[in-house]
Amino acid sequence: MIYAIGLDSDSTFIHFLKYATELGTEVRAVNLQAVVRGGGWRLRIPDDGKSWLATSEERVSMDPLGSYYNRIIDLSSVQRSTTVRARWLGLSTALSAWLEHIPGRVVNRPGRFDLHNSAKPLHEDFLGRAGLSVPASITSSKRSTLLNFARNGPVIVKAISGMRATSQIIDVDRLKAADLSFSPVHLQRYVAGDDVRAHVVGSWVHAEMIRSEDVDYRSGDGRREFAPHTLPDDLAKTIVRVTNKMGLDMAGWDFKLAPDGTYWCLEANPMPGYDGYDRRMGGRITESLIERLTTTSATA
Amino acid sequence: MVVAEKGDEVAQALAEEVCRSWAVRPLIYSLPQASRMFSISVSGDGSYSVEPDLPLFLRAPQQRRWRRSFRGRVHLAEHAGVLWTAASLTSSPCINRPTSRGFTLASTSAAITELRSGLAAEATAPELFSSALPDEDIYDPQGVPLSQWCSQDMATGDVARAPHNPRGCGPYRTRQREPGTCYETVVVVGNEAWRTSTIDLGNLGLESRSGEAATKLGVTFAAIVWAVDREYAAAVPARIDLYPKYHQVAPVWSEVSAALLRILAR
Repeated sequence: MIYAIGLDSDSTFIHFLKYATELGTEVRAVNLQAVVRGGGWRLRIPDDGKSWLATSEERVSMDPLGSYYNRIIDLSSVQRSTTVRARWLGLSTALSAWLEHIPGRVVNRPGRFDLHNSAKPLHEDFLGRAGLSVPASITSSKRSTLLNFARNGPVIVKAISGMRATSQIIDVDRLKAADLSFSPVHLQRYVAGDDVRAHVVGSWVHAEMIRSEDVDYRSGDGRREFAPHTLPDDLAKTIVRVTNKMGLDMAGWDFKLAPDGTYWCLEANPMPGYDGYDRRMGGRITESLIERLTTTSATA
Repeated sequence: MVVAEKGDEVAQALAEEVCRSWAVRPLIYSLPQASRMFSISVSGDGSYSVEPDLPLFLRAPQQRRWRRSFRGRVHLAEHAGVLWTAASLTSSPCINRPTSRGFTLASTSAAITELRSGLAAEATAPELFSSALPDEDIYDPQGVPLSQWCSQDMATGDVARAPHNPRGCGPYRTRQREPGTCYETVVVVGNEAWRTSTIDLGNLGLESRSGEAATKLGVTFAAIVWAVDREYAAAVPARIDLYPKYHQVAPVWSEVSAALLRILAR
């Protein structure tokens, strides 16, 4: 049996439950919002066979030898109530620690994978050293430094941390007028071309090409076309290797495919929202995920 | 550059030592102030530059004021991303240089931090996370006396030994702690370590064990607190502080500060 832990407001979590059930996989779902709102938890390290999570309706025994697909999203920062905030923090801390320690299969195991996706310049340096082509970037709070970089070609502005944000092209005039008093700015050289999203699950790679009129295809009103895509063999092998090197079972890779055929790597997401891509692929990503969760031997 | 919160006594004390020893006044900045100082250029082909490139002494980035709102957390995450990168990539010495998994490898779970440090292979006290205070029969099936369990309210930080309850309304984490245990703090700087008491515990090898733990946690500067039994015959880790407080390092501050300066001067 697979335990799926996440939020009932997370479309990827809901998608996983739906497809896994359709594939005939036995899944025990735990909605963390229900645990925080009216339930409770008891998680012990080392596990003593008595760990559980509960909603107001049921108590779920947590098997340390089980297989876990987790999307732990800590909602403490958006809570007004200090009590609810403390419960979110307490639950996500406890669950992450427990999942790190148990011998069962956990995708992706908290505490065991690199988090430098939350520090984009560090992440980009890591990806470049791993053999991927990565667009140059500058991160600074100094307007003159940012302008010097922007004057040498088109740039996009991106979030530095792992916070979800829409990437935009920013020109020199907008940069001159931008308020730089609060946060540093991360600019990356813009690459024109189609987007490619590849999901790595273990040694499987599922890629899709996105042709979009928007700079960031995830937002905007422009026309978008999606098509299955096969990465060059050496690139596919590289991202499988680097996913593993980062301590991940699963990652969502973003590329720009330039007209000259270069795949420019933008980032590797350690908790990919993969549902939209999977729907268009007929559930192949979820199939790989379930294969990973059910057939590979457990590792502590 | 010292990155610390206002009122950090270790940061202040180190800044004074730098002034005294090198006749240089170090910059003491909060996390957001520090991040604004850096410009990081990444070429994408394995070369990069960090400016300014100067020795760093990093302390815990708490920034409680910023954490109160979602907007504040977003900005704090952005600043943290810059400092994390700058401190990781700078060619200058950095205490404590961040890891690929965060500023340190410490976990909010004490048991997990011990496991990561390698100390838990020797012995670890169980740690229980719960939404409500545990009932007597839920603590441990092997019959560890109730009086050996201490609970902490994770919201208020208050700690109480069972059967008393900590102040607050949870959630809780609970650990086994034998009453009457002695505690010894070992301060680690690089490959040096000092016990902070004068009790003869030489046979326990706490300095070398602490040094190995700090290395596994990827830190240069740490305080490891050991629980020592009444006969001084055995010790198990009780607490690992990767951002030690001044009271923990005060008894050996002259040795510790000298070692910190040696590293920062490399």
